[in-house]
Amino acid sequence: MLNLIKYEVRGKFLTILGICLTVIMGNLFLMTKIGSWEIAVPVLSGFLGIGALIVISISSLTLMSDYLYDDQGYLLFTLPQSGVSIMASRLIVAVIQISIVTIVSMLMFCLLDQGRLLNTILSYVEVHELLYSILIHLWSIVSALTFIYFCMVVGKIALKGKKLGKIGSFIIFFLLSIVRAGLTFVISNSFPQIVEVHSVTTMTINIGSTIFDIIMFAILFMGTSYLLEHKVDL
Amino acid sequence: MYNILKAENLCKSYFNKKALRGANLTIQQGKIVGLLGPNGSGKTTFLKIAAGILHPSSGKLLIDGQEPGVYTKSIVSYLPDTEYFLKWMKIKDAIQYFKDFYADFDEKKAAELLEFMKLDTNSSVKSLSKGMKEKLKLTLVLSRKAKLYILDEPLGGVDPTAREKILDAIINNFSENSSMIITTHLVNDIERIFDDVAFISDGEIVLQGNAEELRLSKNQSIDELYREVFQ
Repeated sequence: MLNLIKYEVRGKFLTILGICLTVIMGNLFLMTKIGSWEIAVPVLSGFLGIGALIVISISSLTLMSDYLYDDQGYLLFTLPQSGVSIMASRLIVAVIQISIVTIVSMLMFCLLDQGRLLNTILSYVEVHELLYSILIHLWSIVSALTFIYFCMVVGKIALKGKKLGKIGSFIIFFLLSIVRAGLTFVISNSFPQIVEVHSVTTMTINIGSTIFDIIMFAILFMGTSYLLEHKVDL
Repeated sequence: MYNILKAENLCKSYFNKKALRGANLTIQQGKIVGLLGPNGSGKTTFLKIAAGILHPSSGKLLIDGQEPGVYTKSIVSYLPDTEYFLKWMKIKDAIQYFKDFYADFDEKKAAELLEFMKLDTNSSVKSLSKGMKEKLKLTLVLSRKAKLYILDEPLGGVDPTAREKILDAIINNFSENSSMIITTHLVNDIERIFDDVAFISDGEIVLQGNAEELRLSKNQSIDELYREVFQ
């Protein structure tokens, strides 16, 4: 699996570098406008960071779709690697590249506003709360990508052709999202027990829906891994 | 003799189209088998199932006694008829990639084959011509000490001089402990290396046997027999 990660990171290196350089150059330009553009400077820096995250998130989706629909799938799926290894490596690479872009964007934002926002956050939030937020952020990425990859793989298996498969995957994603949201609603109503996390604001976590999310992740991860190994036809 | 590959009643359907209709084929250890047939006869479908990238609708295919999967992929060296290299790769990256993933990859053999094929390790894969890419794919595939080599159209889009070179590479690097299955339309060019041949038509094996015995019994070359079967 480490080799899969190594080659995938190598393949995405230029994309990651390009996005990071764009964020850095954009923020350096914005630094020259401090004092003249006033509030627009941090706002634009924020937009730049969000834009970078959107681009790298789309790039994370191609980590799966390129291999399902393009000829390079012949390289990946003829390797003596299990579906679990393939799936886990995609998720790890996605987390790595999204984390790099997030860190660069946040660092540039901190430099731009001379650490004022970071100091404000640190004065109100405990370190463990910050770590918890980062963990939740990573979980959201992994959970969302697992769900999307599952829909992509099901679309590929169920429908023939690149165009039809991709449209089908989107429809499957849309329908399953509705089902998932419905189930989460039902579970959180049936099991209303919550845990409160006190920070700047009080966060409530529904225990039932959290357990449901974790079970869903495990099912989708193993299901996608199985489908990749036993059902995907190139 | 030991059968490295055994297919029984292998069927594959794509929605309303049947690509394989109960194909039966065995490949013995140490043999080079030619799988011959016209376009759309099911050759590539059969090979893709054996390579583990396509799954049969029914029937059974075993390689070294196991269904295609992680184990069989570790003993099968597959040359597809597509250009599967990653865009950023140089030839040396492709070599390293195979070395990292296949325990049976022989780096020394790869260096010899690269020299034989006149390929520069620093060349970008993107910059290679179709023939050069074909030579690179063959270099990678033949550099493995696999139990079964599966070559799908290894001479496709390659000029006659390069064809000879590729055929020489196949013969020189084939081991008695291995087996090989090759599909091609260029029967005349390649028939000299076949031990056995199987003719596939409309998803079924319609004729198979030892190449030399078929030549003698039919008093025809394999190329002539091919033309007669598929006329």
